[in-house]
Amino acid sequence: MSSNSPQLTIEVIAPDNGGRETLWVTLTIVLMVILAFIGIKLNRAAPAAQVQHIGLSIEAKRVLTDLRNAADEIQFSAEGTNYPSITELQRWELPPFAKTPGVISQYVWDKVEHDCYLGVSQQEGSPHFMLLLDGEPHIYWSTDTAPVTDCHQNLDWIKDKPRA
Amino acid sequence: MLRFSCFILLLCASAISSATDRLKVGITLHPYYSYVANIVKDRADIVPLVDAGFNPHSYELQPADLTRLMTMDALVLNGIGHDEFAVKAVESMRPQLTGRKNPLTIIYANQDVPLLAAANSQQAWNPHTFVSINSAIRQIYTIAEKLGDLDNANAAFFKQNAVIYARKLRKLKHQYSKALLNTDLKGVKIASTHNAYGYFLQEFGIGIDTVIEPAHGVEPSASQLQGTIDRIKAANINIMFTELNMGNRYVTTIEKATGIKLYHFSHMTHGQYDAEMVFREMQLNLETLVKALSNPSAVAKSDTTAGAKE
Repeated sequence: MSSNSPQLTIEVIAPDNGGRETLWVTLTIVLMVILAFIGIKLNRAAPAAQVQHIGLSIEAKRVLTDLRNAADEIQFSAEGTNYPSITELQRWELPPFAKTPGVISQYVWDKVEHDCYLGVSQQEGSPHFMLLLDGEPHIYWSTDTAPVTDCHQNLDWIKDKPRA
Repeated sequence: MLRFSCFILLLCASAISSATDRLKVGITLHPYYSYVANIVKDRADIVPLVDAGFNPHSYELQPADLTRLMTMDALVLNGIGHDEFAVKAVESMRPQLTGRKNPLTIIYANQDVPLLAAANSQQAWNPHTFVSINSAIRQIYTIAEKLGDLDNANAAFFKQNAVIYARKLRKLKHQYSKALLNTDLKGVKIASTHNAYGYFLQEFGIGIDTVIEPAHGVEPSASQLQGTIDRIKAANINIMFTELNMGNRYVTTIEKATGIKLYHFSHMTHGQYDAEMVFREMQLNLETLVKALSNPSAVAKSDTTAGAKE
């Protein structure tokens, strides 16, 4: 043999293995799914605060809107804290104190204090309402079955959302 | 002569000052133009953000609208889904709008309205508070109060005008609701193409049984339409309210398939900006409602349903 013959290099080449490729693709997909899951979890908007009035009946929601309107109309029109009587509010045709023709109302309204109006429900299951004009107007409702006579009665009152 | 010149100069300065002191109140939708016009009368300028004739369900702001936005002292927003084009612009331009000498005041007209949930959607409010007299009054009072905070000298004037306007709208409602005195509304079942009339019907103690659009401003697919037709037939729904100025191709299909009686309400977001538009179109809606509910076929069908249930 001649000393000039080229040296042979032996390199072992593994056969092309489809199984390994499948493993990496699977791992990549799993990683992507995990990242997507974490991303969705982190970016999810906080659940909206429960709005109290949503659970009220159509009739009670109507009374609530009327009361929110009445609170401003009384304050815009009254002189100082001299708030009008129920008779005066009815003369203004101001709902819910005055009945809307053609719309059934199940409430009896009374001005029980100089700044507090009470609407007592005449139908079982419908909430009583209270409007308190203590500087800012505050509205409450209660489904308590006890008879309501004044604004400081210890009932299970739910407070309407404060004014923005 | 010098004294006279000074007097003229002072007069001009005063005129310029009073002109520049007037509030520039921006609005996004037609009803808000009517509300603000009736509150401020001639003591402020109203600047519609968008020229009349646009569709609020799909509008994208143009450069001219943004230029107008920069001139406003206050902007009255629906803010719960009907003027998203403006809400997005305000959000993206907040640093420029609030960082200037007279920062823009945003008035969220619906902040004190007891909102209804949107039909067929989650975590969204029904934005059509302006198609209702009670909810309109609530918004009128909020706007009057906020504008009064910006212009103290005219605050009492704004509030007084708001009360006068609210009473005018309420009187209109009473005029029509009297016609419903002897109508039993308990059995009346209602479908609505667009979820625009929940607040309006609630004022009369009526709920909506089915809303046809799968989402706000989105037409139903063929299978959704078939589902709606089945639902209307099964629930014996007798009246359908649809929009006066919007072409809904599927309405005639539903009408033919179910025999339901069709009535058109105004959505109040079309035409020219006009101070009297809300009063005029509310009147039209009240007339339509009385006509629909006084229809003997609606009552007869509901009576049959009630009888069947008993």
